[in-house]
Amino acid sequence: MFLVVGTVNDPTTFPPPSKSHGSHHWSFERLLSAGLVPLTAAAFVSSGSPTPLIDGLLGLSLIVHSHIGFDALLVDYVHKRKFPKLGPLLSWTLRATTLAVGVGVYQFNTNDVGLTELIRRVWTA
Amino acid sequence: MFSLLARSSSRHLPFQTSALRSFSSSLVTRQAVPTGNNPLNKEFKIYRWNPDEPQKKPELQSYTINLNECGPMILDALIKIKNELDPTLTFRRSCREGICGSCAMNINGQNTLACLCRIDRNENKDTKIYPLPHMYVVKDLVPDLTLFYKQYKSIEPYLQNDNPPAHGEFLQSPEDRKKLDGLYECILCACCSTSCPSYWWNQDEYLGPATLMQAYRWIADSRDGYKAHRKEKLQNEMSLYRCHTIFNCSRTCPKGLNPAAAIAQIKLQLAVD
Amino acid sequence: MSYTRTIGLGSALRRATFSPKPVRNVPAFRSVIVRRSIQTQSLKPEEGTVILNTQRLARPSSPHFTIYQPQLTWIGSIVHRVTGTGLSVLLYGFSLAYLFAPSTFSSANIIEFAAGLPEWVKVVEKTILAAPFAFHSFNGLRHLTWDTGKFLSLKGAYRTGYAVLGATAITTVALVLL
Repeated sequence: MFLVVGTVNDPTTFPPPSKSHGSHHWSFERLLSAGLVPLTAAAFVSSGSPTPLIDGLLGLSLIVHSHIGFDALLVDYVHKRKFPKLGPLLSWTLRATTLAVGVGVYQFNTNDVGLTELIRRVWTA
Repeated sequence: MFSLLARSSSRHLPFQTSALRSFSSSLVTRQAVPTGNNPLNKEFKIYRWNPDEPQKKPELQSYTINLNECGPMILDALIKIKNELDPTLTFRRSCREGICGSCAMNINGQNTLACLCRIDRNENKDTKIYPLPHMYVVKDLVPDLTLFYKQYKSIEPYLQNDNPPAHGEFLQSPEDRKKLDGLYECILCACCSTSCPSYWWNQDEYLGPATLMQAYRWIADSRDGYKAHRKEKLQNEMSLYRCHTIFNCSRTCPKGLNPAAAIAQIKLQLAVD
Repeated sequence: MSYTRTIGLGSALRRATFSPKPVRNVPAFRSVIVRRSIQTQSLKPEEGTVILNTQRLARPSSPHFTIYQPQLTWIGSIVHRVTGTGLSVLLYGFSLAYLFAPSTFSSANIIEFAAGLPEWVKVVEKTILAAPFAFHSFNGLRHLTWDTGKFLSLKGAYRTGYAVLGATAITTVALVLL
């Protein structure tokens, strides 16, 4: 329900400017995505033995990249101005889940073979 | 005149192939219609909703007209339907030449101007006409553009400069003027904004391609002194950054403009600030 | 021939005054008085907005993705979003599963499970994983080039779009055959 606020001749208003929500967020997202390109390529060409550095960087980057992607879904479709309860709830659930996933990936990279090795082995199983 | 009015008002049947045209007042025009041509009947399915019966759901109404007695553009067909078949069909129109932006609507799935869109002369296919997508419908094909105009006003679409020249006007080099080409020609028909899925979902906070391209038109104008202020207003999550470069806007613009490129330039300028 | 209806006070008064009947045309005066007593109500602009908003609530919203023509532009965009979501759900799902049940989801178990699948299931599975990954990666590169300002025309968008589709097809086949 997009109701008209004020009169039909009043311009729409802007929220207070915030670079962290604006250009900084955008730039960070692009830089991270760009960084994933050489990282994925490195993971592809890495030799048979597990590479903890690449696994660590890849895991972290993929998780943050996924988090930004999920967050964009929430802002686009389940924004708190239209969903006053569900929006913030899902937002916090996402944050908690991302943290848990971070721990999980760390555990996997440390106690098990690591992401790149897992994918390689499953692929050639 | 009186007798001609009486004659044309008796034309109720849609499939009449007589050479009579409604409201024509000269014998010469009547003789100009080709006789002996087989009628080229085309079906139009048009979205209808009547605010006088608001509980009745919107539906597609079918009209069939003879394209051999009609102008080539969709707007000609709509006017013919309104004249001869159904006077209650409601739509906006004015210049009939693609410059005023009134007749913007969704024809066969694409947002365009009815006066510039040729009728597909394949009689085996129907043409579907809807109002601009995801807008409140005032009646039939007329959308409520109040929010669109309010958003346009919010970007301050006028020259602002605290240091006017001592005499004369603001001077601008041809190179600087060239930067405005492709931006100033926008007729604010709203085809692009209503083709954008982000605008569909977040119309109230996302400005949409039309407004954003005009914001860029003023940011890029060398005579304007409020560039920083204009850019600052867009530094938030919603006004500009709901654009995910879907590119529907440039695909649908009936004037061949490129809002997607303008928005990308704004994002670049904000990033390097 | 002009066929105008007379409205307003002047003509009614004229008809009443110059009527040939000896008695003053009372009905004409009555209709004049009735016509003149139209009530008007002045509204502040904000009150007008209230009326507009009540009307807007009753209005339907015109159809959108159900009627909009499928085009490489928005179909490509939504597929990019869906593939990204799918791959991320896989990553999150696996990570959470490993976090809460590391022994069940250890790499050894997973590899054993994958190795035991019939060959055709393996091929289908690899395609289901490779195609979204390839598409999302190449389309991601397309987005990054747009962000630098390149290929920002309609022609550029379509050309890069078809290039992404081609690269996706080739890469998917290559990955599955790996």
